[in-house]
Amino acid sequence: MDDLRVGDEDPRGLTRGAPVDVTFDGEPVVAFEGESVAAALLAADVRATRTTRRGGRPRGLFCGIGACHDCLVRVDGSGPVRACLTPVRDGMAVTSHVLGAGGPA
Amino acid sequence: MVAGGGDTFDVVVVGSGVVGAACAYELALAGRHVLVVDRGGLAAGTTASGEGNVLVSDKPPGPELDLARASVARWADYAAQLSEPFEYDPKGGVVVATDDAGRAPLADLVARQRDVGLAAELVDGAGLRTLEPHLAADLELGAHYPDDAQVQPVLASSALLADARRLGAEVRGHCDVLGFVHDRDGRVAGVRTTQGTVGAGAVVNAAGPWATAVARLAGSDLPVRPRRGHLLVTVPLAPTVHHKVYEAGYVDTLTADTTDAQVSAVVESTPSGTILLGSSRELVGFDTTVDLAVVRRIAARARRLFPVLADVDLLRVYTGLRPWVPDHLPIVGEDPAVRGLWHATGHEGAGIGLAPATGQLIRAGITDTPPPVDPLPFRVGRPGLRPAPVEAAARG
Amino acid sequence: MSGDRVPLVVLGAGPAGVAAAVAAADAGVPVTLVDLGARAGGQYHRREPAPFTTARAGALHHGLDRFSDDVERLTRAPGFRHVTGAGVWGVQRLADGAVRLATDRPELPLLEADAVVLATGANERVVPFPGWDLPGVLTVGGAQALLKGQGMRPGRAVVVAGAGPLLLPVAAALARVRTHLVAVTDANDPRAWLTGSPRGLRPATVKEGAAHLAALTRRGVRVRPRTAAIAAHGDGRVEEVVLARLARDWTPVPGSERTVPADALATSHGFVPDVGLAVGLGCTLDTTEATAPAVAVDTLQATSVAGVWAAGELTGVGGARVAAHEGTVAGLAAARTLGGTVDDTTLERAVARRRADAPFLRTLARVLTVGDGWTTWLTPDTLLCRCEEVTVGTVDTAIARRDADDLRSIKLTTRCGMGHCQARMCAANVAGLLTARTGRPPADPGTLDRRPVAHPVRLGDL
Repeated sequence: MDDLRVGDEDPRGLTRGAPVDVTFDGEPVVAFEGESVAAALLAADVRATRTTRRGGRPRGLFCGIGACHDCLVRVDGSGPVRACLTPVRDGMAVTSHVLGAGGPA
Repeated sequence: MVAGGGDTFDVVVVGSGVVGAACAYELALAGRHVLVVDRGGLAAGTTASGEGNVLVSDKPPGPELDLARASVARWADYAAQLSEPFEYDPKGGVVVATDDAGRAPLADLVARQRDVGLAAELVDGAGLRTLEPHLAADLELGAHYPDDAQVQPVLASSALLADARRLGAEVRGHCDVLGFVHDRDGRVAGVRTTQGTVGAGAVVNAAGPWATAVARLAGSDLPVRPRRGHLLVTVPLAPTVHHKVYEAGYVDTLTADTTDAQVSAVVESTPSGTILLGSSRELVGFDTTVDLAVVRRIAARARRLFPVLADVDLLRVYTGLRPWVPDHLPIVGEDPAVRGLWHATGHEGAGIGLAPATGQLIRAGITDTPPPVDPLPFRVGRPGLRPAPVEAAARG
Repeated sequence: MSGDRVPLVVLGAGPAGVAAAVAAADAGVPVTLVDLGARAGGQYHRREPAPFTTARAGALHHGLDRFSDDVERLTRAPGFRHVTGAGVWGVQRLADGAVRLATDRPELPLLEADAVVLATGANERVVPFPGWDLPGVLTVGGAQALLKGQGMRPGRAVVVAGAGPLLLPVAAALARVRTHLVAVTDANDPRAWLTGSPRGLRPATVKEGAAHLAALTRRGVRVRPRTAAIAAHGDGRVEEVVLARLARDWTPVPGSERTVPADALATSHGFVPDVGLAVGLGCTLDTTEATAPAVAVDTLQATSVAGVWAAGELTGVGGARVAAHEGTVAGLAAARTLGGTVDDTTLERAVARRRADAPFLRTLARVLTVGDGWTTWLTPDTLLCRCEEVTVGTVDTAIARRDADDLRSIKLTTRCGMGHCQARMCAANVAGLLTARTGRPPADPGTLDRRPVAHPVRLGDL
């Protein structure tokens, strides 16, 4: 199920970085070095990367450039980060971030 | 209606912040026909940049504590009576001594407050961490004040104004007062505004830090000056801070009249999940610039109380101007120099908390009925109100 | 604590910022270029990340080769410094006129400059509709960032719908990489480009537009004019998009609704200048358009604040070419003030080139409009503020019951605009909704664009 990554159709002749292993909420996700967490999750068919704190609404990638903060996730237990701006790293554990239910408690 | 004899009210309140809103609501309750005017949006000045403190803890025994206790009771009434909610939360306050030097003064303050019947309890380190599990482990003395509360200031003001309107009051935003109308005896008979002239039996000056400029339009003067404060707001997070928590040094910064920024930690959560971090107090005129250095100092003080905050994102910063007066007591009463002009200002950082009883004092004065507390310490002509330098009082 | 002090900071490394940096560097001024990106380009020239390689980098980009040459030249300029990956979260004008910047890079908490060129660009405006917060709905620019930056399609069955200059190029780029496009719709009529004065049309723009249309046609995709996505449905993610034909003012034509299956909807309706940092420095805004306040500048791109210049989209949306023209003017003007070598002819020529953009900008203003009719497809449950989950109904209640009639009172009584994005996503829509409901624009345009913390920053990093 890797049909979202553009292959030979890319007129730029794009070559991705080396494959790395990432998990999302414990499930393995295939990713390539240089990809953002958001792109890697999208390619793995993960659309909702968190739920909202009031209405429990699912949210995912929206603006894609770091402005909207809809794509917040946690990385290796960190505070919330924007998945669209955060590059994947081998061994990275990404978890869905629930605003307001996370943080020190 | 525009200028002319038809546009007449019993009382015109200048300023739609929490103090003006409380005055308007209390006067409307007493059957007075009230107009509230504000040169900007509703509650858009000092009220919009406050934490929403309803505090008894930071006041030693005296007239301001009396006013605060009357107000705390009245806020509880409002929470039960008003049609619109305003996030009233009687969650209590916790004051923490952050160094050895702060311990004795805190114990002394608590003892004096208990002497006048205030609910206040000294707590040790273990007790502190029962109240606030995330407090720094080395903090060993504090005090718990169950009567401290919090409201969302803009919601509180708009709730008061909404019910004042239901009682017949009118509210006009973006309506600036240009001058006063006086009768033959010099008594205030109305105001000229950007939306026309309005007749009034009395005018209440609830313009906060801008009250001096309003007083001057009427031919009077006040020593009210703006004192800037910064407030930091974090992203929403799970319940982490349960009371209003501040360091004992905060009480000293209230009365230190230097131009340097006085910074001490005030930390509390809001119903929306954010945490508010204060506070600073700076006498820098009407400059509302955010000072990045002060922001960093406040963050550092807040981390001193709650080390877990280091990993929390800062979301917003805002500055506000508080109405400072030389003797740190609100000015509430009729102006002896201009009859018919009433002042309700000078609450500095305590205006949200003190607004209800201030409104009751104004209502009692204008309707000649019994006041909730002795009005004498707050009177306009008292000796403690030395004139302030002219340049600092210019309208910003 | 006072941090480094440099002569000139250019904030933003898109077309405007790089042009400003090049102009100032050519005049002999040491330039510090500060940007959130890992490499120069901004959104327009967004590049793939370093671990990716390309055989023909410019193949999906217009004008990338020339831009790359400029960046290359910049790196060799004396005293040039490129601070990458740095989010500037705060600005402050100091008593001596210098500008202090606070960044989220722990090794550079504060940076001070004698002068600054702001080139902070714009944010996309997405007009709300029921379901616009479902995962799978993303901005057109977000889809572009995925494609250009990651070599990734937003979905397997994609609707591109909205308005604005990005719509056609992104739809065409998706078509070029053989994305299944279910529908491409424009809420305006693209033929409006051709109805005005020919002076307002740049040949290059016409050529690009024609090339995009041809790319779509080759893939069998027709751009439907006066049609919008007015709702998205799905269980936890987009599964269906409701399209409707629109009247000229964007009011949906009753009975024209059509539901199409899709797993992604790329949508936006134009741009809103990102003026937050300029407001923080006290720069005057031009609020003629209450939904899109822009930084007011003179012909030398000087703002109302001495020592602060602005160039590019934050002074009004005009596209990459206009932004670069403005950047050159701003860079030269700032350099001259700082004692750089700028001869009159060079500066006059740059100003004249920017002045010549005026007819094109008039065309843009005429063609790229947002019709008032969008407020008629909202339901009370539609989110207005995504971050704080404030619905249209909540805002309507505040207007009716609390007399909230300006942006500030809406914000303070509903929390609309108080969340993570700092009102970047909702400010224009709140202003537009308020205008529709009260019959006049808000009295305090620009209020939601005050963001003393430009983006969230760890308290431990302050």
